[in-house]
Amino acid sequence: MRLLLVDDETEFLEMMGKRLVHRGIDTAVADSGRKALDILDNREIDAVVLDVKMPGMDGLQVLQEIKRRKPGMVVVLLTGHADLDTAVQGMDSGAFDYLMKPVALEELLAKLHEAMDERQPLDSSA
Amino acid sequence: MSGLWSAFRRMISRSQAANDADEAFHASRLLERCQAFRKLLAANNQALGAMAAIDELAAGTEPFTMNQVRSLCTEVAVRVLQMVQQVEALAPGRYPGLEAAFRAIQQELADVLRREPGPSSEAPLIFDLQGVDCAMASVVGAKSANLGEAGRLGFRTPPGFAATTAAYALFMASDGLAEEIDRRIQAAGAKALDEAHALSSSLQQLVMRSALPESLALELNAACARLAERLETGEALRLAVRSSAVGEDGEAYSFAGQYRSVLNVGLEDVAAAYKEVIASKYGVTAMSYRLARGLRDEDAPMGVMVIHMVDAAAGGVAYTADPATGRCEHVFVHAVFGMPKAVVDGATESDVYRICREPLEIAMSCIGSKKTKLVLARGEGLAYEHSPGDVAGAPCLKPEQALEVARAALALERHFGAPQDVEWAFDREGRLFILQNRPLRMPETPMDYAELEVAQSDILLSDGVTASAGVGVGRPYIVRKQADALRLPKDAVLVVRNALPAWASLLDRASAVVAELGGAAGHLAAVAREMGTPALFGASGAIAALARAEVVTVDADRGVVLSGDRSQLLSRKPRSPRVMVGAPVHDALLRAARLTTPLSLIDPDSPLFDPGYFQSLHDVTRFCHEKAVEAMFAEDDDRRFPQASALRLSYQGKPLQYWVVDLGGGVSPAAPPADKNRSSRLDVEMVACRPFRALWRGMIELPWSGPPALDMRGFASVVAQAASNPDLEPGRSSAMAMRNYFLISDEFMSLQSRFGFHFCTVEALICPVSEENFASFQFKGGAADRGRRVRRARLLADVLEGYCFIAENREDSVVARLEGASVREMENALAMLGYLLIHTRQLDMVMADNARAEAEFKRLRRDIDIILSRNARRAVEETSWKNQGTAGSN
Repeated sequence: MRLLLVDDETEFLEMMGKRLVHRGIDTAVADSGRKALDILDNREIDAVVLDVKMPGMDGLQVLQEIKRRKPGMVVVLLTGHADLDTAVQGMDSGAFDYLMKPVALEELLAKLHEAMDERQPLDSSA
Repeated sequence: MSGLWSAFRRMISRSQAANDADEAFHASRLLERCQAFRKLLAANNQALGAMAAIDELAAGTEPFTMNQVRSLCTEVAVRVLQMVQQVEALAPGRYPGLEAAFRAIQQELADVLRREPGPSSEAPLIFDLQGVDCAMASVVGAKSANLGEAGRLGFRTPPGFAATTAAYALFMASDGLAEEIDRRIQAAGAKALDEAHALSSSLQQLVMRSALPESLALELNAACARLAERLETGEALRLAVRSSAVGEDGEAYSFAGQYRSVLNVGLEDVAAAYKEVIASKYGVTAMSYRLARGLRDEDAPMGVMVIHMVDAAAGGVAYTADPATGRCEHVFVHAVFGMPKAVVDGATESDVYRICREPLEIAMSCIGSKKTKLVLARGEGLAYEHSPGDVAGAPCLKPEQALEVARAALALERHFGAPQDVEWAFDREGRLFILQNRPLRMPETPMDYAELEVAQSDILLSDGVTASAGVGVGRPYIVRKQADALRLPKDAVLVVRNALPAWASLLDRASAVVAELGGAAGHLAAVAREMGTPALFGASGAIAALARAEVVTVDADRGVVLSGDRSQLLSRKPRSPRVMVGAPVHDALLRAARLTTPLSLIDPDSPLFDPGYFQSLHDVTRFCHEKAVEAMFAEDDDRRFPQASALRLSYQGKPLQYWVVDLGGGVSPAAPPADKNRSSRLDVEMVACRPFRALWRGMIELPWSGPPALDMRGFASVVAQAASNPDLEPGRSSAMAMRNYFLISDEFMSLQSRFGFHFCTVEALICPVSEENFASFQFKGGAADRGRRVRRARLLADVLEGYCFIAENREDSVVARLEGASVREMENALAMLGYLLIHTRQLDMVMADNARAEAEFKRLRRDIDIILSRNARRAVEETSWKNQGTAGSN
């Protein structure tokens, strides 16, 4: 699985990125929505873990843009700022799930595998 | 079910090769439904778990933060939304009002949780203290308001100004500072507050690094310049910058000593000192205090008081009552040389005067040895200075000065209407300044505590979890089925095997409820909490233990059931103080809980069981769950099994009337490769599917004694039925021609079968995540007359209910399911189903009357107990075998 981790908090990116790589997951990181979209345009990515609260383009905008460009992309929202409105908006915009920090690595991985499992048949028709 | 989709893809490609698109379609529908159902179950469990946590917080005995409330409610809403989506996937378009009804509640909940707008940043950023009184506490904070009020009363107070909560709001809003703080608090995990030093320091640094908004910086400078001009100090002006939070020093919350004061600050450092005071809001003690008292972050906006630094010759505090006992006969004055802060710090002894109120005179004075004193440091802050012995032992006040302080304190008490805690100082010219005054915290009277003394023999049950707190007394009444429920006496202790939602309607009649199975997160627990009925769940052996008991006392708090009426004894038991009740966080939680946890949709047969009657998100989960079960296990054409890629099962070399379709991972890699011939065989031993293996074990564990001995009428009834059943005509292509199919993967199994005249399906998922596991059993029909068929179906339902299943019986059909059980429990359940599949064949024929049914019931129960005990023994052996294996490899 090739994963893109998007969060404006570089400490989190570094720590989570390392742990994912240790688990054998090919992980790219981006510290802003713009960079995330650039990476998605230029690299093969299977799933995105996206922070909601970011300066500039926020997570929801990034989500909508990703879904516009690649409707089948798996996006899991991960936020440190629980907010019911954003959560529901995110799910409505096609997020696979909405998780809250702190998140256990195992939980995140399980979510991603589940998402990958579901995504593949859709892709094969695309 | 991981891997089911890839299994499905393999299946499709195989089917396409076999050119059987129909088969592929049905297999795909089944898999989609399993997937949707599994997601719904997981979401349901998560939603109920979060609701239980909300109910727990609502009790108000444990401290919590607004972030926790938001996280829990968001969790509930997201999971319920997922359930709504999955119901739509399972039954597209069938419940048009569902989503709108969910959205309406979710919207209301979002409104409750919305952050209250902070103090308006339209208000002035700075007030001169001369213009401040105690009515302005919400704008300038308590400390500034009290000191401003004291000044207006004519007490000498240091000149200065108050930076308002509007200034604070402006600072917090700049660059999203408040949101970033919120985010970091949540990301750190609210539970971890007691080890929150890292978080606290990160938040304080964040505040210190943030720049003050320009307008605020300008106004602070201008206010300082005006002060310097008034005092004619010029650049030499020294200031004290102190916290003045809203609610601080109030009667309800004291925040004593949690926020920082920066003393002896030069003009150039006022902005930094201001930020330092704001940052102290995120000190570890301050954060824990807000947590413990249920204050939201926005409940404690920070005003800051900036006053001229009095260069004190002596100072201290005065209390107009005894803070230890609350007695009001005397005023206590504590005094030291230099700055009064030394008294509070406890760094040195102080002189203590006990002063009578009326007439005002010193009743007692005690001169301490004040070896050090606090003085203004040369740069910023204060410094300790050593006092030589003769000075240290001298009184630092003249008697009339002590009386002057007491008189001022009493005047403040009279004005504010409550005992006061006053900080004061005499400057080098001997003028008395009031530096701070606040209500004195009085001690709370401690509660009586009586430890329960109960003989061991009086404890009937001590094994259960508190599903709803409280104590209830009554006669135990065991309810096994709905018919029993009708006879439940008022105020009895309801005792049930399963904590089913169906029992909710009994809770208002019961004094307490005890269930052998079920936990605090279930529907019934939620209803019990809502109705205030004490409930003890997971109390294994409760039915046996309470069957013959007379009056019992259920102490749900302690998880015990005692014989006799112990309410006297228990009522003296101190309840945990409900520290949160009345706190702003608690109020917000209750408003949110009202939209979240109460369950009003209880009876699925009621016309009110409809989205139009949703009152809470719990209602939505109940509805979604019910409708998902209905959609998942309803009979329809989609359930037909793929015929093409089936392998015929064989056991000990003999072919069976069972076929399997492997969706992937269901067959051991050691199996010989199947040829493409449809008649290819697969030995049962080669099936790797977990639920299948458990079911199979139950099927073969005990030998079938063959068709039961029939009575004449039973046989006649079969013959009569058969004669009128068109399915029995030879050569007719009918459902009867269908074989028994297993659809398997490593963790999933779906069996459709006809044994004789009855139709039966078993579906199960067994994976390590208990929440996702389920087993369902459906049974209908038979060959005998209606009365006998109905009796058999009822018998099956009774047996299944006795073993953790939720079973429903209508006419000759039974629908039963089990969810969320562990691997071990699931394997036991499937073994039991396997046994029942084999051993209830043709049982309908002998169900002539209820006596016979009762006898059969006992036989089935006995056999099942044998199977379960063998399973248990096997598990023990496996474990010890594994342990030996590990020991050997070490």
